[in-house]
Amino acid sequence: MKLRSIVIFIVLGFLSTVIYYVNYKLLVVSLVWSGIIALLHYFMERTSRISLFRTIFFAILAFSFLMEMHIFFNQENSFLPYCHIGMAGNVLNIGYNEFLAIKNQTFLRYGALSIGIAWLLIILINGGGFCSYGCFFGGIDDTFSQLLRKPLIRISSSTKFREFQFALLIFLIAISFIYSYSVFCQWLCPLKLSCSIINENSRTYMFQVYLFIGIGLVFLVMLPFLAKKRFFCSVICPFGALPPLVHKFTPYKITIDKSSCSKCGKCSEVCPSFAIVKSPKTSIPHITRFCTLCMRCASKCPTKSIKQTLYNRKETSLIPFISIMLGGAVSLFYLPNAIIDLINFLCSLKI
Amino acid sequence: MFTQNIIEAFWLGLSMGGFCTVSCAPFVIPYILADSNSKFLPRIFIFCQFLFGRLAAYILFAAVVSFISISSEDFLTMKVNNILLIAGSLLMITFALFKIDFRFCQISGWSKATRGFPLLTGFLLGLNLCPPFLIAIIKVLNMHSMLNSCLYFLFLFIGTTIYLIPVAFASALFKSEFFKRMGTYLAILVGIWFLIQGITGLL
Repeated sequence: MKLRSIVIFIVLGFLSTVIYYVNYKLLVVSLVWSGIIALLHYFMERTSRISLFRTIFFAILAFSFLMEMHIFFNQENSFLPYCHIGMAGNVLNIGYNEFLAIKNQTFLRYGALSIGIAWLLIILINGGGFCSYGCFFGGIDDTFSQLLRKPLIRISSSTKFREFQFALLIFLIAISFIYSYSVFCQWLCPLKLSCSIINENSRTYMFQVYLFIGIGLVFLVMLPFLAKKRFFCSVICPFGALPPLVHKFTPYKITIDKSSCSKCGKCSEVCPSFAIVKSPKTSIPHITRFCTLCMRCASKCPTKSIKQTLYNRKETSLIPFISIMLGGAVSLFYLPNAIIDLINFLCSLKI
Repeated sequence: MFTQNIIEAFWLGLSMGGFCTVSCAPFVIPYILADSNSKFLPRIFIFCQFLFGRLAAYILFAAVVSFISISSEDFLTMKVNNILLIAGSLLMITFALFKIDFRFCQISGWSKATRGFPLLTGFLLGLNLCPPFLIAIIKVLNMHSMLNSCLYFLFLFIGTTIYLIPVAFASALFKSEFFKRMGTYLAILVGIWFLIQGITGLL
């Protein structure tokens, strides 16, 4: 087994022990899951089929989150300090609450200075990688975008399309600050269907329910399935606008080797994030700042011209290692609980 | 509530400021600045006159609208108000989607007529009845207070002016397609937000 996979197991195993040392059942499941992550990474390196094993990991992660938080409703035992998607659009309110806390000589355990900085560091280290390895939302539309062999609707990549996210982020930050609540969570998050509809009889809440169902069906399921593109992550997600903003400063990038590129455009076609555009002059594809490091382009490139690089120069193979480690660390907070709940549920069916 | 109104006005100003910048201001501001000599202070003075004209128009408009709302307490019921809000936001979305020119006031024609009078140009530009401006009027109609209405329009003015200041000095930057698209997207989003507010108000 390669050294990096062993490092992944050791780090995640240590984290599992720290989180679950009081509950041996969860600790065992957590250690097994850490081993599975290390194995998936091993296969990524051994077979070079990074995209395939990433998809398996990402799908498990996203659907276990969905199961735990929104089907078993185990929001007490499972623990997520703060949803990064909700936080992105609510950043001014979170900063203001932190300010009030400091003014009252206290400190928010999960505020702008703790969890906010942690997210910022993750983006700076891993760029868009978190969107392809760690995001429990992204895994849903990513999975649906991989179900068909060929897209039924063809949508060409365009950065104009992705720029909408910047406007949405600005809008959400401002409007959430004006009304002092997270507008994204209240009006746009389809996962809120199962947990935050307080008064189902109110007409406004019913309007919200229809909005959640509509957004979920269209952007998380139908469009990704039909067009093989990650529509929710590319259009609706406010967090998705953050990695492109710091893309220049992130060390790990995907780069196209222009000398060996055959200009076939396959990479641009398969990119689920609308991140690869063809240069109008030379026809050589160019990977833009919207890249989420999913490596689907590399797996489809006939000339193997797409490489992982450090600052677009030195070739590296660290992207899956760092990304799967970060995604795996986040998953430890809810995935072991999901597995236990699933086992309990299946056992109760037998009885 | 008062603070919320002020922030909302400022935000509405930010949203419509993008359109002012990309559609109206590039025609007017370089034109005004071209009238002055190349020295910095005279250019600033002319630009300030232009801004003062706009501010005067905004405050005057707020005062008139609030006078109407105060003199007729039941001038608009909540339902009519929400319907107007829906109509205004739909208009705003339509204009943004189909890239219809926001220059209701025929600003290029006016700017020629008012050559050498930046104060007047600013005043006339301030009376531009674009959809976000209509939404602001509907909001003010509901306040029944002249002071609050004037403050609302003052912060609306500040929100739009934030865009105009850099344009005056770096208009080339804001001519970029990226800022035009941002303006369009923001107008659509703000339009949708007010549309939802109108619909939920009716429900």
